[in-house]
Amino acid sequence: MTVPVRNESSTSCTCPSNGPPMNKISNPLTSSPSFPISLQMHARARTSASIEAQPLLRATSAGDDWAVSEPNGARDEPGRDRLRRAIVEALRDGFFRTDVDGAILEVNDAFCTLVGYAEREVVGMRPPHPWWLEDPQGGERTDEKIARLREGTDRGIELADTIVSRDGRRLHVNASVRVLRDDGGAVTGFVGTLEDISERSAAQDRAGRLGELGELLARSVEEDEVLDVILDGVLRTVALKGAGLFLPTNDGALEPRRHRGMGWTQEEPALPLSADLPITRAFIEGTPYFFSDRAEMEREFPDVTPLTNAKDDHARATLPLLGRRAPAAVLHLLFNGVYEFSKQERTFLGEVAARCGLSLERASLYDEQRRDAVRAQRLQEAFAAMAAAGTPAEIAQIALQDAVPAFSARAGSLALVDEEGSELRLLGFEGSDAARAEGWDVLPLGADLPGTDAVRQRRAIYLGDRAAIAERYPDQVALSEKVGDHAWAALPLMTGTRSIGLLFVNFPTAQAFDAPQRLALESMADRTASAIGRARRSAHEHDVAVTLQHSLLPVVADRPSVRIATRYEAGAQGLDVGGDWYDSIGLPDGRIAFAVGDVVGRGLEAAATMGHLRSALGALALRGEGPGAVLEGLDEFARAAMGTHMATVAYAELHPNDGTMRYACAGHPPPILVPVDGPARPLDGARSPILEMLDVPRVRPVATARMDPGDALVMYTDGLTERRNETPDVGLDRLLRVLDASRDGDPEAICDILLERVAPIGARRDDIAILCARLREIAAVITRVDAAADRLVDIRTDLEAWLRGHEIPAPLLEDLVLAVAEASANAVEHAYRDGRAGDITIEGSVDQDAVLKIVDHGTWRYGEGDPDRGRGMHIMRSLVDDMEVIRRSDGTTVLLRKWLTGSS
Amino acid sequence: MDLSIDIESEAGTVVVGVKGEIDLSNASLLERRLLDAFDGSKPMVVDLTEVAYLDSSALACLHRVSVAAGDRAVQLRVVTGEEGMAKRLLSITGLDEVLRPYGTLHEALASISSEH
Repeated sequence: MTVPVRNESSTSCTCPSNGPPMNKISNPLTSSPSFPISLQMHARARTSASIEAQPLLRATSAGDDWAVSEPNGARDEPGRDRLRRAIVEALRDGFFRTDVDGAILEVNDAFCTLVGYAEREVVGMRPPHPWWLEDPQGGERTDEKIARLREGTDRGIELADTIVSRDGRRLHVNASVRVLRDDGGAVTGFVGTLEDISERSAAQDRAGRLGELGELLARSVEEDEVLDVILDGVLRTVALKGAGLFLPTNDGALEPRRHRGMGWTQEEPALPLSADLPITRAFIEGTPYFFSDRAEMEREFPDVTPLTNAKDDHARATLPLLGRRAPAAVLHLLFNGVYEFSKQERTFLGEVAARCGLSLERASLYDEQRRDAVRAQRLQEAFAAMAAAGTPAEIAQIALQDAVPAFSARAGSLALVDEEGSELRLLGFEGSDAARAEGWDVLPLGADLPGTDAVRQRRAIYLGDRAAIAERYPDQVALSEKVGDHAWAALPLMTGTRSIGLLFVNFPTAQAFDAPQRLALESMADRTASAIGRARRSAHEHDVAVTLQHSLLPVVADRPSVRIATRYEAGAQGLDVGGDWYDSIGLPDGRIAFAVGDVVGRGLEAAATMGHLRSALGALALRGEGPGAVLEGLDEFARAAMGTHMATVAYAELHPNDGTMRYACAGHPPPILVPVDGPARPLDGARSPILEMLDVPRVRPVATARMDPGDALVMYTDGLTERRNETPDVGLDRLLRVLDASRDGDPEAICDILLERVAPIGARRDDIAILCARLREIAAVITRVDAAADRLVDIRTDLEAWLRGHEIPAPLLEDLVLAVAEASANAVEHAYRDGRAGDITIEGSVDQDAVLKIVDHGTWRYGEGDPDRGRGMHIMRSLVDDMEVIRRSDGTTVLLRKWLTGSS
Repeated sequence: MDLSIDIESEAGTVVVGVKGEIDLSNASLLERRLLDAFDGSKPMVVDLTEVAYLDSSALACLHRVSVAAGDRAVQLRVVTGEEGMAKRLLSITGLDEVLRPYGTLHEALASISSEH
């Protein structure tokens, strides 16, 4: 059914083609099939005025061709006017009719509402009408534009404009004006409608903003991200002072998770769901709450008053963010002022909340899945790392480092049952120190604690929240509160049926401990237990190997004249003994022999060969025939006794009195000389092939070098320098650089630095043996006296004064004086027996030890003379820590050392 | 060398008080004095309590004197004090097993009278 406008039907349905499509439903001037339906809807919507009660046309004009045809086409004048008026009044749009000069003849209620004037005020009002903008964008007032329609032949105009109502509100309107003409075509007046599009544009705007929010939400997948997008998006979509999000916790509360502009402090408390608050009620009921001001909120929810710091009276909206499964969160909005929420606004905010809720639910599902996947991944990595770890402590560290984040835990600890089976001892802890409970480093296994119970009962104990803790371990509630824990998992570490320790995990939130989580926790504990079990077994095996290796290597004592340090480090392979070795032998004449060698191969056979070789070298060295003879002797030994083992050796003999040195290398890296005042350099004379297994006698070349006091000598096996994918030169350069940088250290320190910087643990692939020797600098000449018995007292007096000057404590001083006096007495009695005149020089240096050097230029040998002299030697050895006698053809040097630190 | 040797005969016992330092330069002198001080079979007490320094020459001297005392059936007592260099050196060299030093002169004298 159509209700056509009776006016020139050919034109009345013609809209200007350049304008936007008009709202056909509410515009009576644009005939449309849907018009009556809309009309009915509008009519129903309006309740204030009865259509029948409205007066129909009050004014009639000359050009009274404004009429509506009745459906049956009959022209019954009063009925027609009644119908026309009913339609006009039922219009939601403002309606007006003017005469040819623009004076208002007729308006409807909607028009009056729009412009803010009563009907009686506007009827008869001539232009300019006050509601039109004085200075619109087009430059011409709308009533002027209408007036100009008189001149032309246009049938009407459509335009968008802003009107200012009497109370100052600005409203966006679409104005549609038609020219009324008489039968002769003369203009008789105008008729028009004003459609308020303010609400529609706001709705369009809101729809647009909602769309944007939806897009943002769709782009973010993780819960954290979604929470941010919700807050930022809502603040962009609605003009707000602030917004906050409350998320449910596992223990029946809503925790303020994050906010914008709410002025929350860090410690905003969680709200128990039992509290009667808009936020909790919105969450439980799934319905929004709107408060036009604070007073309204406090009236409805008196409990909110003590909880809020806000003193504003602004409007608030509390919106549940609903997912498909359950409420996901509550969004609480704080507006900029007091505000009456329109129905549209409530609907709109509800729509915002719905979108946020769905996104949040999707995100938390995603996070859950991803958390499971990440946890699985992390655990796999941890399992792999644990399998490669060496010691239980390393395993504990790896397990905790991975377990704590994988389970979103706050802290974790790993403890082992001690050997007696009476205590749990902490092996590793991960988490902030603040989280660490005092007194938990050692726990008696009998204690009534979740950890000890789990170990004793060999079952996992899960305490999902503080209530569970309180129920089972009431004494521990205070602790959980103090350290901030909400849930605990205590997992026994089981190897077979034995419970060897405990994995304890502390959670910052209550935990559901669902099946997947328990499975993950328990498999973590299982893997950790088996890794620790394995590490304990291999640690035992490794200990055996290392012990054996060290038992095969000598304890090389350093000497008063030469500080000596040695190192042996097993390579990464671990369990086998290797064939690297070192030794230092004091030769009868006072020279010191140094040797470092390498028997190729690993295992007990290589180690045994190494032991034989070392013994052979000792015997050969003691013959005193020098490096060439020593290596040639080893060649013979190799042919006779070494089977198929190849071996290399570097050998040097140092005369500590004058620093002269002779050395030779059989297929071995060269010793490095580190001068006090020059660059480290390899001693690469006297190089010859590896020890000979063929029956070909060989003469081994020997080279000489000189060490000045303070110079160091470094001998090593190639495990120190060689690395995968490097030529040996690179390793040698690295060694020389490190030695240049650390030349001042004592031999012990140099060995440590070499291991640390030249062959750090990760870079080692073979065994390493190092020997470092530094020739002592003895700078001070304490006294020089004639070698005569009556001068011994002078030696004692001068030495005592010198030692006092070095603040040597009395008992040590006394021993040193006596020992030096004995040595001097030896020299007096024996050195110059042939009647030659000579002297005795006493030199000394004090560092960590006191070293005193008694030098004569006579000829004598220990073991000569009467047994009473032997008693003197015995006294000397008893009074000092080390004694060294160096003989040369031009005299004898005795070095005596006493440690000043407690180390020896 | 600062050494004083004081020889007294007292109630049938020869008491030699040694003070100062003993070393290679004067040990033979001490040895001669001690051998000279033997008086028949009278017991002899050598008091080293006041000796500030002694060395292996002094020990050698004491050892030879004790051998000579044994030859002459003379009871020899050596007093070193409860601590000090003499006691320490005798202990280091094992001579304390032979010379059996006493802590005080009084004890040494008492040990002689108790045997008579």
